[in-house]
Amino acid sequence: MAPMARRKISNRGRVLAAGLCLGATGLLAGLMAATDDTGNASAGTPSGGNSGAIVPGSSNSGFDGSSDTDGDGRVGDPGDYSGTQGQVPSGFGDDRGSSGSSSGSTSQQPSQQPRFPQPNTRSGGS
Amino acid sequence: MAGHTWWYVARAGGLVAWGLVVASCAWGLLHATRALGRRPTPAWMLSTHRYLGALAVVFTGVHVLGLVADSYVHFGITDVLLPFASSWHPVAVAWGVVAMWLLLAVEGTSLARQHLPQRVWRGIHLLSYPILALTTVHLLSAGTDAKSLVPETLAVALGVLAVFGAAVLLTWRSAPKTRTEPRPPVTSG
Repeated sequence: MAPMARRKISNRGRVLAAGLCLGATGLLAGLMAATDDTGNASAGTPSGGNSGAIVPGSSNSGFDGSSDTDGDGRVGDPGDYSGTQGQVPSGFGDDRGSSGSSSGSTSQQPSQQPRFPQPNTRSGGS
Repeated sequence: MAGHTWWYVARAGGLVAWGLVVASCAWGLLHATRALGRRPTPAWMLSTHRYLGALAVVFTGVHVLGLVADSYVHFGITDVLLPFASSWHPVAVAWGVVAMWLLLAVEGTSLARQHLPQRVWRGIHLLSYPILALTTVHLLSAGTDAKSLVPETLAVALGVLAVFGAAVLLTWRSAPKTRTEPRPPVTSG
């Protein structure tokens, strides 16, 4: 009966809710790290350096990687895509250069595959 | 992998923030419609609703800060604060940026509710529905995890629920004038 008359959420409730959210964040981040790690590290992606980073302005290749799953048919993509394409070449070239150094013979297509852990993992790498 | 920690935190924080937005909206609807009856007191429902909203703001902050702090995906401060500033999925990211500002507006006006006219507060508070829609679109269009963690069917169901809930709320709002009064001593005479 006492709880019925409760006027506000209790401090214990607050802590519990916040802890739950933090736990969920940690769990999700851990899951992402685990799944991405399998797709990423084994694929030989330059995991540490900036050379393998997704640069928003130059992530056309990343977008390609994700577009199989996320990007293609989605909101605003046509505009985004063409917009990014215009400024991609430099960054794209940089990315390629770095991945080329890791695989040695990377030419054009392969750079899309191992480059970005998340999109590639989601798209199944194809 | 350690280098991507912030990237994972940003993604996970975004997902949790979205869940909190959904929960806060649902809680607000339950509170406004009194759908749960009198068991949880309205004050407790309101308090919980507000707390969920505050948590949503906090985890949106985690999401944004994670993106800025991360060195794997290069988002600058302007990219995450200004719509269409990001050249990576500018439109998809813009949904999230706009939703973030709207969320801050809703939260801010809720904190300052006592100092605002009721009509103004309510008008701004109704932006919660666009926020829900925008964050969902943002999640599905820009979110890397949309396919794996949140099936599109769930988003559609969520949209239907939101519309349905809003409709229920509106009809409920129009009814209380006749309904609230008879409650205490309906048949006294």
